[in-house]
Amino acid sequence: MLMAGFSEAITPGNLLMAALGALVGTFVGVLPGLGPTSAIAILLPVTAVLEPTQGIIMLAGIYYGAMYGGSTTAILLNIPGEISSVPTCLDGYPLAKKGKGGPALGISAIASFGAGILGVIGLVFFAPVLADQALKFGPPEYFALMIFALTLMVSLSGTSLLKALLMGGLGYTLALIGLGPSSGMPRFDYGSSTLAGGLDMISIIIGLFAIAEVLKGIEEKRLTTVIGKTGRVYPSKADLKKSFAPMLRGGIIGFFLGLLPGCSAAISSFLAYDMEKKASKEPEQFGKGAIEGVAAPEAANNATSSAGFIPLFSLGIPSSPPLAILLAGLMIYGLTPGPVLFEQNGPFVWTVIASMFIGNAMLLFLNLPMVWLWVKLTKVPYGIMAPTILMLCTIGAYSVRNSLFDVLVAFFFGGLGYLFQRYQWPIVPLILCFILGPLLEESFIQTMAMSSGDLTILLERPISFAILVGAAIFLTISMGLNRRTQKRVKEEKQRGIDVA
Amino acid sequence: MKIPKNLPDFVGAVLSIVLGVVVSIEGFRIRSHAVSQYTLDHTLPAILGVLFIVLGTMLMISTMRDQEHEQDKRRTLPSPYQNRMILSLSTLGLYFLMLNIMGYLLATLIASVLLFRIVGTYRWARSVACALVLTGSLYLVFIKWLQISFPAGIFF
Repeated sequence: MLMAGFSEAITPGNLLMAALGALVGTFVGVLPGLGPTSAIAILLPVTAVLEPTQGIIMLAGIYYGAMYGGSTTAILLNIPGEISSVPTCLDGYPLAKKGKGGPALGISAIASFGAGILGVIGLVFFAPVLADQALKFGPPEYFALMIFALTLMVSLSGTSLLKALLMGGLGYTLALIGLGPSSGMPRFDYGSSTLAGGLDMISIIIGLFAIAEVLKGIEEKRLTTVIGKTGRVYPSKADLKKSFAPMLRGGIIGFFLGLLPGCSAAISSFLAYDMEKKASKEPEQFGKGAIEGVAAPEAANNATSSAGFIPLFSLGIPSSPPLAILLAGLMIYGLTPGPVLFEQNGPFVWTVIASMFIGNAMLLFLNLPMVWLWVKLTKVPYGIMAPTILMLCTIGAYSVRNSLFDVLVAFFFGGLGYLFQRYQWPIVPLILCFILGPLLEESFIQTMAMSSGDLTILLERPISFAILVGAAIFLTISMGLNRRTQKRVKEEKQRGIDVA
Repeated sequence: MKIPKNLPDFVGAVLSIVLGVVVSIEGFRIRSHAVSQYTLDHTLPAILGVLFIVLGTMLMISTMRDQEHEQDKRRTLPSPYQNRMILSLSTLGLYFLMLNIMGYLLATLIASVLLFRIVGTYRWARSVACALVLTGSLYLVFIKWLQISFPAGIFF
């Protein structure tokens, strides 16, 4: 199956999309202030004109490309685009200040490549097995799975679980607008035929992520930054020797944590960094420019990102914000994320997986010899970038249904998203629940019909019972790891690292 | 009445409670249309309504004794560039109104000029030049190449 995927992935169209995705992803990863989530949100409607396989190949390329590119700003500017890049700053920036930014970027690219490939190999072996088991699912199992997905809100909650739950509730409420699944009667329409058609997922995503991010950037008056000399990019043999074991350890930690739905790349990169520091013979060098301090978190970060495709493809559970947008992308293309994806769309899944191997190799090329280009691109003025992004957002929101109402929704949620970010109300639970809301409601109604209204069916069926027990275990682990990561982020913020 | 220590969250809590009431009312309305015991379109709205009211009340109480907020105050202080952000958002609102009347191309050109002027603080001539390049590029890619049909407006 994988070989068939490779033969499909190397067709010119698919190769072009993988290259384009990797290129755009690295570009947005390099630019401070535009993360992978926003980039995927903006480009999702644009890819709608492509075939599903090409569209998802491109979006996946943007995702892991941005993970690679994010390390560039973390190392050279001390600006982590995502929380998961904070540990990379700790030693990457001191290395850059010593004029060793080049080797740090080189090690980061090699670590990202190695761990990315490790994650994709894991995806090849784990995802079909998991999906095969999940084929035995009926409505109660799906409902239990949706409850499991709800536990993700804890790890995506940011500073307040209470606010995360309220935002999740808001997401479900927005998903309710439109026709009811069992009666076909309109809900929350207040007599408007436009509202009876429901809200478009893409407009909300574009507003909350992309437009809100640009508005935040305008308020912060983001400027281009002057970067010092980076030195040669190719790391020395000594650097490679020092980094090999940390890369391997970081990759393994990242991969296994990435298998747990709800375990973010931030958790694994912090854990890998701290473990590397403990395992090192020279822990005092950490924070002052230890190359191992770049290798381990970068490997963990990328392994977690690749492993995140396993619960996404096999169970339909996204473990990070960009994957939640990718889930929306799969749905837009009419693909059913979850157990039946492998059965119904096997060639599609294997082509996407094969393209990830190719995309990771392309990224190594983009990030090693071409790093000078990315450094130059950080100099694009925000005054040019922001209006361009806003205009692309408008097209993105409009083009899905050719509806001006969707443009209005995107602008409205852009303003709302800005307020949410400003007052630290987490946006991701809203999007997650908006995407999962209809699935949860449908499985709930089917479960109730199946059991004559008795919810104990969830405890009587072994798989749904096991999923609920799993959810409780993951919730506990997630809460513990999340608390630990928040504590570490707080510590680093006190030391002066500000997450963009 | 005691003044909440975290006003933004207090406002959020009040809005959550209001939303809870609205969602509950809608749930009640949908229930009256149910034709069988398995028409459960009202269940999730009912649960969400209660959830909003309970969680909103809990958040409201926590804003009265919020200790950590003092440390985060710096983050919520207005930025000197806030006006620029508000003007940009207003331009987007104006852009939406113009799209229907003037059509995509003219509205995009005008909105782009304003955005370049506001965000980039470029001179008018440079803003117009940037807007022409941007609108032209978008026209070529999305209208000519990808064949997306945009509103033509009342003038065309």
